[in-house]
Amino acid sequence: MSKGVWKIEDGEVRKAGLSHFVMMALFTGIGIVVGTFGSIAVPLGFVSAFWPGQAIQSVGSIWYGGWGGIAAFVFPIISNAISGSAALPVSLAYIPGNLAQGLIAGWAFRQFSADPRLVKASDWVNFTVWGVIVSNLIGAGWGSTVLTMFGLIAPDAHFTVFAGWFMGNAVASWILGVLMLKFVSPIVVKTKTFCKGYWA
Amino acid sequence: MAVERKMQKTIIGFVPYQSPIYALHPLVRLVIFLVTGFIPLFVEIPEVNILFLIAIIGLFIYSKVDLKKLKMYMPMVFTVGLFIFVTYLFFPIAKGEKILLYQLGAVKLYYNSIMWATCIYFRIIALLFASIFYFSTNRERDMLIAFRSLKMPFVATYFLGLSLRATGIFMEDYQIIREAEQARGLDVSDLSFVGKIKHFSMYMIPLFTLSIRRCEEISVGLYSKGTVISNKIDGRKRPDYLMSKNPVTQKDIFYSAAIVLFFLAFCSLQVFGGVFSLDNSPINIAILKLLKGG
Amino acid sequence: MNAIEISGLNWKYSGKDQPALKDINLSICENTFVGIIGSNESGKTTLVSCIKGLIPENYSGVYKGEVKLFGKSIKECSTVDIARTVGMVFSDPDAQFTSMSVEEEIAFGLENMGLPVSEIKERIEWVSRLTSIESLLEKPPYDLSGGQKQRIAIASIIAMKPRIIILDEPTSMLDPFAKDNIFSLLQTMKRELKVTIIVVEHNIEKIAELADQIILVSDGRVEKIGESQGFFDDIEFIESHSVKVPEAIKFIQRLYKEKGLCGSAPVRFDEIKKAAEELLGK
Repeated sequence: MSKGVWKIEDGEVRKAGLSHFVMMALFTGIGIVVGTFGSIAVPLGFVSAFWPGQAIQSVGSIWYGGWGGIAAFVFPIISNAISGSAALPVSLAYIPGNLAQGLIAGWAFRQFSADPRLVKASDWVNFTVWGVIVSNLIGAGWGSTVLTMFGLIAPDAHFTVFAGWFMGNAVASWILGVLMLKFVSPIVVKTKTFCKGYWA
Repeated sequence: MAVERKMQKTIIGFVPYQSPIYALHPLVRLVIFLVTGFIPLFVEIPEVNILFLIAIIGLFIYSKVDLKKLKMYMPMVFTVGLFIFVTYLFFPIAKGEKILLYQLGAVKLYYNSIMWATCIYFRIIALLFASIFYFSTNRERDMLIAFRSLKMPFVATYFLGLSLRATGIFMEDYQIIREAEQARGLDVSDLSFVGKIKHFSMYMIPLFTLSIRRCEEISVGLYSKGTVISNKIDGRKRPDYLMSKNPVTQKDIFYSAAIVLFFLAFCSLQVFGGVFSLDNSPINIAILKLLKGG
Repeated sequence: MNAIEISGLNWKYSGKDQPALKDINLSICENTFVGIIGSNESGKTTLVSCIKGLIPENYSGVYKGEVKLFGKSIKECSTVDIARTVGMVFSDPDAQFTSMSVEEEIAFGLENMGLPVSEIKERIEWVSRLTSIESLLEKPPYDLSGGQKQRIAIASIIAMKPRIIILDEPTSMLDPFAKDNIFSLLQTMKRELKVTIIVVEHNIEKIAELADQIILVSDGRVEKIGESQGFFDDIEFIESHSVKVPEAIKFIQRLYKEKGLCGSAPVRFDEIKKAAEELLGK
């Protein structure tokens, strides 16, 4: 399989640096803005169904590898606090789920050499399977478990909440993720901060 | 006479221009937040969490926070409640004695389930208001001072600060995009739900494109200031001007320790004595007595 | 002593067909105020980026030639060395303000230099007096106008006391009132600081007022370099490089020609006004 945009050219030096750090902070900033407005526009409280932030998490790790992964678990803590959609202990408990949502798509795109610009059918399949379905299965599974543990939903409602969370977020993350990958990836892959590996 | 409460815009909300709470060091305020942000988790009795909530609202008033600014959280307060009560209505819990209050077809309204939903609701609302209180009385700068006082590495606090600064920049950009659309006659409130979602997604593309340009500019700006993202400079500890202006005093340490001790004592009451269990709720006891005809 | 010496400098950005800079040879004496003018995409920013060391450090491409700062090749200098020698202010004030208050923003560069806190404090006091920003020190970035942010960006660079200060189109994103404020700050800097100041600017009128020396860059080459008095003598040559010469300068030159006067016409507004009044007999 061709490595496509992930291929490191002969003599190409890629080093993690200040610009990656800055991009991680900027990406976190965008995540805070998008996550906050998403939570306020669709106020479902602590339930993250139809939350646009998930698309940011998946796409972030595709573009910026581990840096996107860090941003993926940091920005929801802040955006939840601003929008009042989750208290601090709940936000902290969400971290593993957010981290998973922020790493899986990035790992899959590198592992299977999928193109972030979504040029081939296999790229679409990769994003749909890993960036949307698998990421959200884990995210919604973890999130609904956290809600159950905090008593925020009745234990018997666990599966129903999980299913609603998964479907709502999957639709949102697919639509927004595709838009971002299709329209912004062609620019991002040409920038210095695009990570062919996990950190550079 | 109504007291005018002047609020100052911050990146993540509004804080009062002047407030008695500012007399406390940001570290002490962070400790208060951490403690108040966890206390309700150890409380099942709704009355105690309601009292806690009243105390937090009292703190809002004492701190001169304009309560009108809290209006934006009201939809969230409502939907959280709706969500909790609906799940406990349709999926009643087995905890406690099942007392059927009402039945409509297959839907059964059990007292124990609704009472537990009430506990959870006031717990989460208390937690949320504790969180809102912190962000309504601390500027971003205060948060950074607090984290640095806890000896968080420069790399982490700088990342947090830059993220918050980026949030401010993108909020301004977002506002500019919205105003440009409004100037061209677009009224978002006229859009359908699906239209709003589609429209929201279209904001992201310019935001990302701007972020790429800004990333380059900020990186170059930081490079030109000789920035090294490290806790050390030339092998020595990085100077910290901000902390030199806001040193942690013995008094601040004493206050923080006292608050933490109070928290531990409070938690112990529940963990070892079950003092705040629902069984000890006077309202719960009274209603149960009533329902059982005792 | 020469603050900057550039010899045989060529630079081509990765992915571009044409070089952005072609065979640049240039020396700038210390403590002079230099204006760099030229049309968009002419290579002005690329040139100052090479002086600052941003190229080749932050961009990929093909670099040939040498840039020396006070006799030392830039390739031998570390990031911190360069930051101590050359300070640079960019056009977008938002992109340069990364801290949560004005005071911290100024302190940030000084912390990077590893200065003791007492000296950081002294420098903040000094620079805030010099740039008249004392009342802004406690303010967060979102409470400031674009012009104030740019003033602070300049202050934070001055505080680092570099021997060369570059300002790359510092007024391009500001309103007219803020532009005037920045130009008066530049005037103060010229008067009060013993440093080499290089300003890339489209406002030729203001540059003519301030600069000791002007450099015209076009299509990646230095087309003309000279003292501001006399720089605009050949208006056609300058305008053939898509740079518009201010009407006041054109007017006084026409007047000089009509009156058959020798020598260069003045370029500073007060001098133009005085000369015009004398020549027109008012």
